[in-house]
Amino acid sequence: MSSTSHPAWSPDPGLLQPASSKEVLQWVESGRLPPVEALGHLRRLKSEAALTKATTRSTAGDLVASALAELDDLIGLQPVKALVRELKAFVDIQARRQEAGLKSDQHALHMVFTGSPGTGKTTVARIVARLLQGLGVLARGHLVEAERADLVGEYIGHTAQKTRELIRRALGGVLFIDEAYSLARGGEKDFGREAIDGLVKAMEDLRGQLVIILAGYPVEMQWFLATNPGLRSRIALHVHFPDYTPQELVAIARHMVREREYALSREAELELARFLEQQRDRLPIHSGNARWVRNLLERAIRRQAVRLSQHGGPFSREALMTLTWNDLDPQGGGLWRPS
Amino acid sequence: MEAVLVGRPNAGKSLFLINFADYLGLRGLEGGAAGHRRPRGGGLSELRRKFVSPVPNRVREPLAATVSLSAGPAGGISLVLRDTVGIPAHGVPEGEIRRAVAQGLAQLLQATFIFHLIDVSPHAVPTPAEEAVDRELHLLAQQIAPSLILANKAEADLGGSRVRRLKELYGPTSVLPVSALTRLGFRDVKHWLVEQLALEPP
Ligand SMILES: Nc1nc2c(ncn2[C@@H]2O[C@H](COP(=O)(O)OP(=O)(O)OP(=O)(O)O)[C@@H](O)[C@H]2O)c(=O)[nH]1
Ligand SMILES: [Mg+2]
Repeated sequence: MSSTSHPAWSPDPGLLQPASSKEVLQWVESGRLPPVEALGHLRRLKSEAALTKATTRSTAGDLVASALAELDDLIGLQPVKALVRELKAFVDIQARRQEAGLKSDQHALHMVFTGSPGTGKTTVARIVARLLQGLGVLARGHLVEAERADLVGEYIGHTAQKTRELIRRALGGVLFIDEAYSLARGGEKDFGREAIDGLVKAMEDLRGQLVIILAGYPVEMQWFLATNPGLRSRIALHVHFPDYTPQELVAIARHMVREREYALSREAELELARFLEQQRDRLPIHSGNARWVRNLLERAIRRQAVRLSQHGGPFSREALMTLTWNDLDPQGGGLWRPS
Repeated sequence: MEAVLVGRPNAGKSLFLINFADYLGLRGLEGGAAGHRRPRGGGLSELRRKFVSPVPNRVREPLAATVSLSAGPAGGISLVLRDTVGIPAHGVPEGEIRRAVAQGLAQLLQATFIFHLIDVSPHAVPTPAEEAVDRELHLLAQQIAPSLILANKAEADLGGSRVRRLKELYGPTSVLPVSALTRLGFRDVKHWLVEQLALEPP
């Protein structure tokens, strides 16, 4: 190959460069690289490493920004949003303090989420996982959802094994245990105790490697934590998810139908709001439940399809999109049964 | 926490380590000196005999000493001072020395602090190749950890022209004149360490 085929600045393909510090040291030892050249290579590799670190930091920043944006997009949940922002500020400042050589609080960030089902606990847990990844607290930022059956086994030793396995899967992320109080349901002799002990141990020994979130109804969670001081003392943050207000539920419904390229008729929206307002105190467990809204809408979509096909076409675009109050029919179809 | 001493052969690293450790308060020895009993007072002369030599690169199994550094009211912080084999300006024919040089570089990469010693005595005026080693070493050290150039044998730099030259090359705050022999500048080196420790995360 003639020398003119290579621009002056192109690296000579015959001159291999060491690809890692380890390789530099090996080449020094074997005599392939004079020490002074080794110094140059080590410096190059160091600055390359610093550069990739800087770019991962910027993607970490993106992670934080997108997690917070997603949080902001959630309807309602004002106190939850405020607490998550506090959490972010706290982690941020602890990291800055550490950089400045000041005492920093290295407490684990295990949490309790209380609230009715369908109030956004899992969604927020998933956002928190990614936020903590972006902040450098968690390596992977994934969410592992679990409930009693995932932790508690059927024979002696089985529970410890299942709990360990679950914790191992959650390392680097968030382990979210829904209806956590059910672990204490069976009393002293129940295998659930073994699972609780395993969790306490993981909360202590593996802090920094995973965050455990215990979730459930407020009253039950209160009892559960009161009777398990080992768990309670390791909780850094208690987040309460208030029930959605009727207006918030309507906003959630509007958002859900838009995502599916449907729309609520004007009447359907007004009636739904009135219905939720009426039911608010009568069915305390289910009012304020976004999951109920989703089930309602999914059924409404099926009912609309039946209605349209009975009518026969052709259909306007609007007709294909609109869900009426009759489609919603919240008192039909056993929707109030616990989900 | 490790302060790693680096430099070209015969810069005075080993003598600086022994005398500076003695100055700070020697707690224990390891590496090539692990067999030595904890020396008191005169015990150091044995170390000097074994590890300090005008023949470059004679010692291939460098010394490390644990010292205690009292930094403010927090009390004693223990710090390891680690010697390394001198980095020569030219290729090295002996495999044993090459291995020791590679090991020294590995230790440099792990350093918490770096002391880069440069001989400023009149009979050690560097060749361009030797100056290149110090320049490269300085640039690398800066990327690894807080580092300080110790212009050693400064008691012999009459008129101070070599120290001035180093300050011109590397910046006045990067260079501290010291003497491993007369202990000139030891107080300043200790102050530098204490200052760095206040900035380091615990
Ligand atoms: N005048 C004077 N001589 C010194 C001083 N420091 C060291 N020396 C002498 O310089 C020579 C080399 O000292 P060492 O401490 O063995 O040098 P080194 O940097 O460890 O050398 P290598 O192990 O070969 O890399 C010895 O003869 C020391 O006595 C100093 O401050 N002043
Ligand atoms: Mg030496």
